[in-house]
Amino acid sequence: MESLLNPQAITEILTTSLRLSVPLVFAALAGVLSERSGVFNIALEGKILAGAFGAAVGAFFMNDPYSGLVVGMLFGMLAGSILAVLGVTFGVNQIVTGIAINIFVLGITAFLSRIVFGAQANTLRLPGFKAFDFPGLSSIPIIGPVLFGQDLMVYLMFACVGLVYFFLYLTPWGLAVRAVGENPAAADSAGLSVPKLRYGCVIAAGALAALGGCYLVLAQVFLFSEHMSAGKGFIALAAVILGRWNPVGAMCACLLFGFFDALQLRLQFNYQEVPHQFFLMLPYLISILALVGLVGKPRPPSAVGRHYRREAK
Amino acid sequence: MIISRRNLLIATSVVAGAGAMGRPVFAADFKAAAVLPGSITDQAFNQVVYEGLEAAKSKLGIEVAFSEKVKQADQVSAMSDYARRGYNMVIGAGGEFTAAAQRVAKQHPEVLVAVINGAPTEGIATVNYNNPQFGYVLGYIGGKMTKSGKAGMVCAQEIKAFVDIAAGFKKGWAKGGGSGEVTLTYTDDWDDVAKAKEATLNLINQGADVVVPYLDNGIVGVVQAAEEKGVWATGVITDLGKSSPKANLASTVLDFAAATATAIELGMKGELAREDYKFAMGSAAGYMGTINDAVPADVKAEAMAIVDQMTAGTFEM
Repeated sequence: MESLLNPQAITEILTTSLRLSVPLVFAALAGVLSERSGVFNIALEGKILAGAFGAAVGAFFMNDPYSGLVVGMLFGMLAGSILAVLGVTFGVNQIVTGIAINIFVLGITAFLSRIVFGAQANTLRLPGFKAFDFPGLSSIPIIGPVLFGQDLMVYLMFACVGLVYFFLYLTPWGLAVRAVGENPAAADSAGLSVPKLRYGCVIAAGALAALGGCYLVLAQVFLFSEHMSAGKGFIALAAVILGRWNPVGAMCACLLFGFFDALQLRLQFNYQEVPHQFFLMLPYLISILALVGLVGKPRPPSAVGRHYRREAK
Repeated sequence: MIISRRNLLIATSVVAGAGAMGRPVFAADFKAAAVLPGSITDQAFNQVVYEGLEAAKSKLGIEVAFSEKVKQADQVSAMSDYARRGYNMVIGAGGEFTAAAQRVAKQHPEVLVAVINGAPTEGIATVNYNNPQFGYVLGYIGGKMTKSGKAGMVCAQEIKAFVDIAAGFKKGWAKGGGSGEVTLTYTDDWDDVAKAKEATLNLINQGADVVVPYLDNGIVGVVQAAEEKGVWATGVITDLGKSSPKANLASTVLDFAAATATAIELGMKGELAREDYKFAMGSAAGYMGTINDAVPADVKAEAMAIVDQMTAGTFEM
C-alpha cells in the first residue's frame, strides 16, 4: 500500500490516467458536438481508427507529425461525411449507419495498412510529438509533471474542450446547433438550415474524433496497428452521456475513466493475490455507479437520432 | 422408354456411388480450418499459426481456410460453421478457445477439434508446449542480468499457457539470482498497443528491468516501453532479436507455424489423439532464439546446458 501513496507513485498514476484519457476526450467531444446537433454518433470508434490510420499514413509519407495530424483529420472527416450523407440526407437509421462505419473502417484500415506498411508495420517508428517540460511549472510537486510535462496534443485536447464549449454556449452558431438538436422544426422555421448545420457538426466531429486516433499514433505508440482503437470509441460514447452532453462534463467523465484504468493497472501490481479480473472491471463498475448515482436521469437532446424532413410535418 | 421413379433413384445412386468411389476418401479431401483471435499480420501468434496453416496446405495438398479476429462471443459460431461445412479438423488458435472447442466437439463428434495452447480438456486435442521450460530459461537469463531484481510480465488474459510460462519464469528468475518479485499484469486486450505500453511503463517505474510480453499486437507497446526506458525485454513466442535487437535480452521461439503444421499432418493421418500433445524445449517447434551479446558467455553456456537437458528430457525444475 505504501507504494500507492508516495508522491512519485501518485504522479505516475495521474500521468498514465491523462495519457489513457486523451483519445477518449477527443472522441467524447466529437460525440457531444454531433449529438447536440441531433445526430447519434456510434461511429466514434471507427473515426478514431480512421484518424489513427490517416495519421500513420501522413507521418509515414511526409515524415512529419503535422502532416500526420492533417491527413488523420481528413480521414476522420471522410468517415464523418459518410455518416452525414447517409444519416442526414438519406435518413438511414443513424445507429445502423454508425455500426456499419465502425465495421467498414476496421476492415478497410486493416487491409490498407497491409498494403501501405506491409511487413514493417509493427517495427516502424513514425515521427511524432515528444513530451516537453514547461520550465519552472513542470517542477511543481505531484501535479507539475502531469500537467506541464506533456506533448503538444495534450494541450491541443484542453484547447479543443475550451473551443467546443465556447462554440456551443457562447456563439450564435452554437445556439443554432443546440436548437437544431432540440427542435429542428422550430429552428427551420426560424430560418436555420437543419441539414447544413448537422453536416457541419458531424464532419467536424469526424475531425475531432480522428484527433484521438492521431494521439494514439503520433504521441503514444508511433505506429499503426490494426484495431488499435480497441473499444475507446464506445467508452467515449458512455462519457458523453455521463457528461450530460456538455464538453467539460464529457472531459471529466473521460478523465475519470482514464484514472480508474490507470489505477487498476497499478492495483494489479500491488495486489497480485487478488484476481486481476476484479481490477479490470473497475473502470466499468465506476461508470455504472456514476450513471446510476451521479447523473440522475440523463436528458439527451430531444431530436437526437431522428431524421428531419421538412415536408413530414 | 418410361422412366419410373424407382429407376431414376437407382440410376442416381449408382452415379453418385461411382462418383464417391472415384474420389480418394482422405488425403486430398482433408480440409482443415483455423479460427484466429487476431490478425494474420500481427508478427506474433496469429501470423505464425496462419503460416503453419499455409505450410500444411502446400506440404500436404489439403484445403485450408481461416477466420481472423474472431471475438470471444463468436468463437462457437465460427468453429461450428467450419464443422458444418465439412471441415475434418477445426483449430482454435489460442487457449481462450478451449471452452468453445469443447462445445463444438460435442455437437460435431465427427470433427477433430484442436486447440493450440489449450488447457487439456476431454474430447478435444490440445497442442501445447512444455511452457514452464520456456519460461524457466528466460527467467534464468533474466535473473542473471537484472540489477533491480524485479521483472514484469504482461499478458491480456489469464490463460493457462501464460500462467505456466510465468510459473517457470519465476523459478528460473530465482535460480538465476533475481532477488525481487516477478509481477504479472493483464491488459484484457491482445491488440491494445497503447495500454500494453502504459502497463509496461508502470512496471518499469515500479523497478522492473526485465519485461516479458505475452500478447499479439500489444507486444509492440511492451518492447517500445522497454526501448524508451532502457530495460530488457524477452520474447517468448517470436524472436525479438530479429525485430528489436537492442532491447532483446533473450528470446525463445514457440514456432506455432511448425506446431500447427505438425498437428494438421498428424490429424490427417489420424494420429492426433483427442488429448494433450506437448512439444519440448529444443524440439523442431520450440527452441532458443537470439541471446543478446551483452549476456556473458558463461551465462549463455549455462542457459544452453539447461536447454540441452530439457531437450533430452532429463531436466528437473
